[in-house]
Amino acid sequence: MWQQQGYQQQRPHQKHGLRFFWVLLIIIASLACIYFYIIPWLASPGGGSGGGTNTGRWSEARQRQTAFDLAQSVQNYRNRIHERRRINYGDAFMEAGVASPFRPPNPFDGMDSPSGAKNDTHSETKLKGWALATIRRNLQSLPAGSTINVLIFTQVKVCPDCRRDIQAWTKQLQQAAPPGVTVYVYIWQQTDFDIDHPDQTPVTSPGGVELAVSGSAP
Amino acid sequence: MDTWPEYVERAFRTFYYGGQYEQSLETFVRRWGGSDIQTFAQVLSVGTQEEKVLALFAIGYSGTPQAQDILRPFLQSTQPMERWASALCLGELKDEQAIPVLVDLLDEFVPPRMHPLERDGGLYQFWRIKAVSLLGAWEREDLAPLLRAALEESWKLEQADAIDRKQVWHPYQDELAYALGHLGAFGTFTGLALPTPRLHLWMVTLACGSLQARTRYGDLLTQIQINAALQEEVIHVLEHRFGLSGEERKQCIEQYADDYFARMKWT
Repeated sequence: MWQQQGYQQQRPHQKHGLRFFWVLLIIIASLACIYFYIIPWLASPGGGSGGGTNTGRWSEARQRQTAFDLAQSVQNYRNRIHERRRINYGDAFMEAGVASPFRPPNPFDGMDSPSGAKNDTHSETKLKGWALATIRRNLQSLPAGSTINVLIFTQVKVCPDCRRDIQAWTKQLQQAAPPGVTVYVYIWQQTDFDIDHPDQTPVTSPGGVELAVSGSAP
Repeated sequence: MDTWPEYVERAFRTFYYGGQYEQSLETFVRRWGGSDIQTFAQVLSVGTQEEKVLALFAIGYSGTPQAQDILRPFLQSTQPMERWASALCLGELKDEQAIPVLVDLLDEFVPPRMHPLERDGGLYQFWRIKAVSLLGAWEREDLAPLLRAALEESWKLEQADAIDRKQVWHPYQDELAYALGHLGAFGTFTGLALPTPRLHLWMVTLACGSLQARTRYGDLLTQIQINAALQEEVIHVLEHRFGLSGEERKQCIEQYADDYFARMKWT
């Protein structure tokens, strides 16, 4: 009888303990899910873009992760085509709160233009041209209040002319976007690229890229 | 970081064409003690081959009155880089003696001898693009058949190249189409078996060359998309010089960027 009473007295404690254990397990599993899946997904080039989500201006961490991914894409491309030239390459990523983000068909090379402004044929200028075409072709039905984020990555450090031109480029992209849509442009660069020995200076972590310049229309 | 005269920076940019030339410039100045014309003239007689080429460009771009006399003997150099550098500089000075060398550049060191994706091949390809620009700006009609032959040859080379290496020919071909437009060679594409997207792309590029659009407006990829004034001018050329219908003209303009990028796809 005493034992039975004791047994009956212990059961609510056991029930509470079991419930606490399950709640704790669910919390830990949720945190693990956020840590291992949600955060990396949001930080990845395609992440956080589904279902018409308006992502706003990208955080520094998001930009850095995207630039890092592009840096690796460019490195792989150079290796794949057996690039031996002493030449810069750039790549880009665009997200606009629609189902899929946008990428150029391949990374773009860049060199001085033989006439006109010398940066007319730099990879940054060509990638801006691609962004312009993409906005004009694919993003004309974006609702007001949406955001377009364009990130351009370049291996060689951004030249003064391209730095100067970014505000004009942003304005061109902004004017191509539907009314009420905000365009942000970021140009990231590799911190220690050696154009004479590209294979010896690979980007191996997000710390190997840095923001060069960014622009947004007034 | 030091700043240098524009002609010196330009000389180094022309040799170190992918950028990152600053360190080489500083090393050069440290080694030779200056970056003035006298220093470059001295380098021409005692420098390494690479330093001599840099000196040729610096002297050529400096605007010094003696430039042509200094550069002309190098047109006959046995060293291709010296020959090319002097021709490119003399070409900018509209020295007629440079023309045969500039024309030779169009088919010197092309595959199978050297591919533009190779280190030296890339440098020559960059210089070849500059040569085409100079020849177009000369406005001598007798150069049109030579540039057209170079376009036809580069088209064949692109067709024969591996799928992932074809894009290396595009800037050169675009420059040829632009230069042919500058020379008013509107029949350039007659007899060339080109797919429609490429034909449209190059017709617009050629039209832009005839209008000298790049120097007037800026990079074509952007301007063709958004500059209404340029679009009107190009449409006029496509109508009057190529006889395109209204629908074809509209398609050429609207598809320009798509055609530009579509050729880069590995399909």
